[in-house]
Amino acid sequence: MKRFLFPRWVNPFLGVLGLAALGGGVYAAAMGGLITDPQTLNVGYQPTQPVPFSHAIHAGQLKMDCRYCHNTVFDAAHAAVPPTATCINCHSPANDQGQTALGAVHAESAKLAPIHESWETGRSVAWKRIHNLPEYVYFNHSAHVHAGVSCVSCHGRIDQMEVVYQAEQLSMAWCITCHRNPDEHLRPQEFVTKLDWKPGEDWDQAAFAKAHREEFNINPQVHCAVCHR
Amino acid sequence: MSNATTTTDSAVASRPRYFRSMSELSGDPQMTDYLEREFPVAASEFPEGVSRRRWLQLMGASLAMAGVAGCRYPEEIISPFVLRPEGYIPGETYEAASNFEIAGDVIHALIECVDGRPLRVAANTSHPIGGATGAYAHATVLTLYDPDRARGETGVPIKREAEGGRRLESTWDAFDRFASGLVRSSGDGKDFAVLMGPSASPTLVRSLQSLQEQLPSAEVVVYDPIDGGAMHVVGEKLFGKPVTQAFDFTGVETVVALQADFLGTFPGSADNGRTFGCTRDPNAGPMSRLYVVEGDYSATGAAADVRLALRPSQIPSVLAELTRRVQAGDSKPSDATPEALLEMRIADEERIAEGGDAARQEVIDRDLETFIASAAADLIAAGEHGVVIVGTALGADAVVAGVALNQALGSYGKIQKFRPTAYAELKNLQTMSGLASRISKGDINALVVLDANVVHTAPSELALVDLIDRVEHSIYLGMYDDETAAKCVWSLPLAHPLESWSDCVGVGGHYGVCQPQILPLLGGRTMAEVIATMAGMEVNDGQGLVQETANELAGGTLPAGEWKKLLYDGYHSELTVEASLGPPNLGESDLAGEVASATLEIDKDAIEVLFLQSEALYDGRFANNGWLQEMPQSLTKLTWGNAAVMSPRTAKSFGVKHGLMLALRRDDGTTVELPVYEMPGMAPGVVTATIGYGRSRVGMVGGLPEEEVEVVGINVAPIRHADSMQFAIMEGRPRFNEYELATTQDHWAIDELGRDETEDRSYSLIREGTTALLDKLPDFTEALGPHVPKVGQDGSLWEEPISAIEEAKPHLPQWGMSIDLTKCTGCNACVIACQAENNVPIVGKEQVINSREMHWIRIDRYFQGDEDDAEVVQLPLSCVHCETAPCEQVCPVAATVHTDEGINAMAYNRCIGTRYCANNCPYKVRRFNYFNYNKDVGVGYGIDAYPGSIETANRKLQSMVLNPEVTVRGRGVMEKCTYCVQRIERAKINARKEGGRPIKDGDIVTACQNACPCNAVEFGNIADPESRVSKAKKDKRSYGMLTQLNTKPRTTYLARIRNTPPALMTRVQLDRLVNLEAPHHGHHDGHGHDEHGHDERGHDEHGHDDHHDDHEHDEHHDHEHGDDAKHARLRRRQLPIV
Repeated sequence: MKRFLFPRWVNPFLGVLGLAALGGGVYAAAMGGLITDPQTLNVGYQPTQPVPFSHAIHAGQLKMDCRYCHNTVFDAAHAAVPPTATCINCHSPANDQGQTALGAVHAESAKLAPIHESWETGRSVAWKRIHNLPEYVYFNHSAHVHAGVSCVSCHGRIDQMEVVYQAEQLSMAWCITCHRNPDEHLRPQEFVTKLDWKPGEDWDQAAFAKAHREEFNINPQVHCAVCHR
Repeated sequence: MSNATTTTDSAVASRPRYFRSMSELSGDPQMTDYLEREFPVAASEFPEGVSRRRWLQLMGASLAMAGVAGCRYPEEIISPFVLRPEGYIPGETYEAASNFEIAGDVIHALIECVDGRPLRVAANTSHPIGGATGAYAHATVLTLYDPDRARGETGVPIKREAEGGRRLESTWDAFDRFASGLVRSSGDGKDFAVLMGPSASPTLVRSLQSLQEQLPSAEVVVYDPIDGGAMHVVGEKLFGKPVTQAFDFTGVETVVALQADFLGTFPGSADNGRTFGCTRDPNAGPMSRLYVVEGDYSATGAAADVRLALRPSQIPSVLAELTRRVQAGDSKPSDATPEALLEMRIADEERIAEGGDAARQEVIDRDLETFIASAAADLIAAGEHGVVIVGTALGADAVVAGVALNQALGSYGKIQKFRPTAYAELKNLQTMSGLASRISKGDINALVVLDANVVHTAPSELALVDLIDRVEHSIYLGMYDDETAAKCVWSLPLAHPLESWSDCVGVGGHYGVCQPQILPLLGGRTMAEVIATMAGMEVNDGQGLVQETANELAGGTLPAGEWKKLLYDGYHSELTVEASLGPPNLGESDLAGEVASATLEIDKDAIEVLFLQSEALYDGRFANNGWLQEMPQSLTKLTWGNAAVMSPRTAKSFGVKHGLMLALRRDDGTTVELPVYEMPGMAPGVVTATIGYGRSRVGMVGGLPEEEVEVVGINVAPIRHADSMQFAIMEGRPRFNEYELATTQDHWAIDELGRDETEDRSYSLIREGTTALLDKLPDFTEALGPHVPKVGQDGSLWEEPISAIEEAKPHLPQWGMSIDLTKCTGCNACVIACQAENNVPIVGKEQVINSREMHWIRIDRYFQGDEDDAEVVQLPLSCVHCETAPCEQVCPVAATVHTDEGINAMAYNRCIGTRYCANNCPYKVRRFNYFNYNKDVGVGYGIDAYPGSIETANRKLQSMVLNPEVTVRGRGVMEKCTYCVQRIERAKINARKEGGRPIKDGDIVTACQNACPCNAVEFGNIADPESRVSKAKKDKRSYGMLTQLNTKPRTTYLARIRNTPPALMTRVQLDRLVNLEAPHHGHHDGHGHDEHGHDERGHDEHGHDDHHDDHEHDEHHDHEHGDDAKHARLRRRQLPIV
C-alpha cells in the first residue's frame, strides 16, 4: 500500500495552523484574563429596576441616611431592601375617595405605579439584585459597619447614582486586599453611612486606624472559614 | 511487684481486648476486608435496578435544594415585605420558647427559626428543670417539613365513601358538620369512644371533659404502645389513678436499675441523663454508683459501673433478695484486697479454660451473690440517697415492690417521684382490651382515634384491623395517613407540634405552652381543636383554648403581661400543677422468694423475648423521618431496620450467626422471623426485638408498598400480646436464609492492618479506669497511652505552623473541645442535632451498607471482655481538628486548610474530590458526597426525579429544613465537622456588635454541646486558661487520640471512670489497679537514663525509647521475627511506656 503523503500545496496552510494556535492562545488569554475577570464581568452591572428609584435624589440631594431604608444594616447580615411600607411613608397613594394625603409626594406619578400596586395588592415589588455574592460566601453587613467600614468602600458613591450599578469587583481577591490591610477603609463609626465624608486637613488616617483597631479589636482574618462555611 | 516476670506475663494474658463487633472478635474475613480497604467500596457504584429507584425516592424525600444556574449572574429577584412586622430582621436567627410532647416525653425547648422557618430544637436551659432534649426532639423539624404528612395534595381531610369505599378529598367544614351531627345523635354516648396515646396536655383533657359533658357515657381509652398500660396498672395499684414516673438524681449515691433503661428509653431519659450526669464527675466529690441487672444490653447497661446480665424472668428474685437484705439491714460486701481478687480472677480464667461451661457457671453464681451483697450493702449505706428502679417489663408487681424498697430506703418522693397524669381526671377510662371486646360485641358506633396508630401497635390478638371496620363512624386524626387512617372513614391531618397551639405539664409540674412557629403547612389541626369543635365548645381555636386553660390554672384571668411572660419564658413560676398523690398503697409484696438463677443453659422452647421501643422510631411513629431511620442505634449500630439481638452463646445454641434468621413462635402458632444480630454481653437465652418497624403505610422514606416503596424492617407486632407487651417467653427456631443488616459498626474503622494491631491499639484510643485506680494513680490515663514523641514547642527543632501563628497572633482565640467519656451515654442526641445544624444528608440503606453514611459524628462503641461478659465504652468521634492535620498535607488543591484559630476548615468550592484527605485521616472522620444527596431532585443539577410540578413543589418543602448558615454540599465534595464554624462566626459578629469585645467563654455553644443532655461536651478557647474547656483539658484524665502520630488533636477526651467496687471488678480493671505504673517522663525532662527502671522490662522500654525515631522500622522487624518478636512487642505495648 502506498504511503499517503500530503500534497505540496497544503504547505501554506501550516501557517494557518500556526495562526490558529496563536489566535487560540490570544482567545484563551482574553477569555481567562480579561473577559471573565471580575472587573469586566461584574463592575458596572446596572439592571433596570421596576421603579426608577434615584439614590442620587434621595440619598444625595435630600440627604436621607442609608438607614432610613436599609435599617437592618447594623443588626444583620443583610442590609435589607425596605418594605413597600417605607416608600409609602412619603409616596402614599390616593385613598378610596381619590384624595391624597397632604404630605404625599408625587402621589400620582406613573413611575410609582408598581409601588402603589404592591401596597394595594400586598404583593412584593420585584427588585433586581445588583450586589450578589455567590451562595457559599457568607458576608455580614453588621460586622463591617460596626468595625467602621463605610458603605462607600464596597458600594461606591451610591448617593450620586441615578440608577444603582455595581461599583467594585466584589471578588475574593478584592475582599482579601482589604482584609489584609483595612486601615484606609476605616473611619469613625458615626460616619459610616455618610458617603461624602471627608476627614479634616489634619487627619492622620494611619494613626486613627491604629488606635481604632486597637480600641475595637479589629483584626480581620484571611482564612477560608471567615467567609466560607 | 517482687516477681516482675509473673506480673508481666499475666498482664499480657489479660491484655484488654477491645473489639467493635463479633466479626472482628472472630476474625471474620469480611471484617479484615473492611480494615484493609482504603475506602469501603469503590467510588463509582451507582445504585442499580429497582434499588436505584428506591434510592432516588429516598433522596427525594430526604432533602432537596433549589439551585440556580446561570452564566454571569443569575438574575436574582429581591422580594421585600410589603409591611415588615415590627422588630423582624430578615435573615437573622431568632429563638422562641415552646413546650411540646414527643414520644411520651415533655420537651422544654427553644425553637431556633430563620425567616419564619423553625430549623432547630434546642434545650431551654433557663427552664427551672433545666430542659434536656433527645434525638427525637432534634429530628422533629424534618417531620415538620415532610410532604408525606399531607392528605391529598394540600392537606385536607379525607373521607371514605360509604358506597364503593373510594377515599375522596373533603373539607374541614364538611367534617365539622358531620362531627357535630354525630355528637348530637349519639345520645348519652354509650356507643362513643375516644382512643388516644398518653397525653400531658391539660387543654386536650379539658376539651375531652367538655365532650364527656355532652356524652356522659362516652369512654376514653388511653393506650401506651410501649408498655401496653403497665405503668397505668402501677398507678392504679399505688394510688388508684394513672401516674407518670420521674427521677431527680441530684445527690444520689447508689442506683440499682433492674431491667430499667432509665438513661435510654424511659420517658424523661434526657432529663435523667442530665441529673444523673451531674453525679458522674470524679473530680466533684464521690461519684454515684450504678448497678444494672438486665437481660438485654441497654444504654443504661453501657453506663453501668457494675452490670449483671440476667434473664428478665430471674430479675424479680434479685429484687426480692435485695429487699430482704435491706430490710435486715445487714449485708457484708467482700473486703478482699485487690491483689487477692486479681489472683482469684486469674484462677477463674484458668478454671474456665480447663473446666468449660461448668466452671464458668460456678464463677457466674459466685459473682451473682457478690453482686447482690455489694448492691444491698451500698443501698443500706446510701439510705435516702439510694434508689432502686424497676422497669415495667418485669411487671407491675415488681415495680410496686421497687417503690416499696425505695419507701424503706427513704428515697421515694425524693429521687423517685410520681405525679398524676393529666388525663387522670377523665371519666370512663377504658382499657384497650375492653374497647376491643366492646367493638366486637357491636357496642361501639363511633370511634375517634387521636394520633394513635393502633393498627400497627396494638396487641395482635385484638385484631383491631378487622374491628375498626365494624365501627360505623371511625375518625382518625393523625400526623400521617397511616395504617389506622386507611381503616377509618375519616382521615384528618394533625398539626405538628411546631405548628400548633397546645400545652403540657412537665415532670417538674410546670405548665408550659406550645406555641406555633409557623402556620400549619399541610392543613392540620390540633387534637384539642378537633375535640372542642366536636363538643361544640364556644372557643374552639387553638390559642383560645390554651389561653382559657391557662386562665383556669391561674384561678381567674391571666393578665396579658403574665400570659406573654408565660409564652416568652416557656414557663411561669406561679403556674404549676400540684402533684398531690398521697401515700402509696404498697400492699403485700408477692415476689417469689426463690434464689435467682443465672444458668448458662439455653432452652430453645423457652426463649425470653424483650420487646423494646425502637431508639430511632419509638413505636414506629418516626418511620418516615430519614434522620432517625439512619441514626445508628446506640449499641447495635443498626440503621434502617431491626433484628433479633442475642448473645453469641444464644445464637450458637440455635446454630445461627449474624445475618441469618431466627423464627420466634408463640404457643398460638404466630411466628415472626427476624435477622440475628449477635451482641456480646447479653444474658443467655434472651432475645430482644424492637417494635415500630415493618410498617406498611408510611411514606417515601418509611415504606409504602402501594407506591413500590420498600417496607423498612420487620414488624414484631404479631407476637406481641396484650398480656406480654414488653416481655414474653416463646419458642425460637433457626432459619438459614440470609438477611443484610445495615450496620455502621465496622465502617470507618480506624484502619490499622489486621485485628491484632487494632485490638492492640484500641486500649489507647479509649482509656478507662476505676475510681480506685484514679485514687491510686491519678495519671493512669497517660500511663495507658503509648509513647508520644515530643516535638514542636516541647523542645525539638521542629516548629509546627500553628505554633508560629499562636506566637504571631496571640489575640486570636484557639478553639478546642473536650468530651467526658464518663458522662456520655451514647444517646445520639448530638448526632441528630449535628445533622440538623449542618445540613448533613441521609443516604439510604444500600448506601449505608456501602459505608457511605454521612454523619459528622459517629459514636464508636467498643466491647471489652468476652462473648458472655462484655463491657461497653462509647466514644463520640468527629473531626478532632489536628494542629498538624494529615489531611491538609495531602490535599492537592488546598481545599482543606487550617485557620488561624486552629480549625481544620473545608473550602467546599475548592474540593475536587480526590479523597486523599480521607485516606490520610487516621481518625476516619471525613465524609465524601458520592452523590448529589441534596440536589438530585433539585433544579439545575443531576436527575429530575420528580417531573410533576406538584411533586416537585412538595419535595421542595423538604428543603425548608436546610440551615441557611451552612453550605449545602454537592456531589464529589468532602466534608466533616467544622466545630460549627457558623456559630463561631455568629458569636464573633455578635461580639463585634457589642463594641468589639473579646469572645467570652460560653458565647459559642456547638450543636453537639447544646444537644448533650449530660453536659459531656465542653467547647471554647484553649488559649484562655480560665475557660471551661482549658480546665477540662488540664484534668489528669484528659488524653488525645492517636497523639503518638503527632497530630495534636484539638478535641480531647476525659478518660472513662467507673465507680466499680473492687470485688466486682473485671480481671482487666483489677490488673490495672494492681500493676499499672506511673508514666515516666524521663527522656526529655533532663533526668539521666539512670532514672529509668532497673528491671528487665525497664531496659526493654528504655531501648525502645532510645530508638523512637526508628519506630516504624522496629515494628517492621517485629512482624518478620514471628511470634516471639510479636510477644515481646505486645509486652512492651501493654506496660507503661517510658
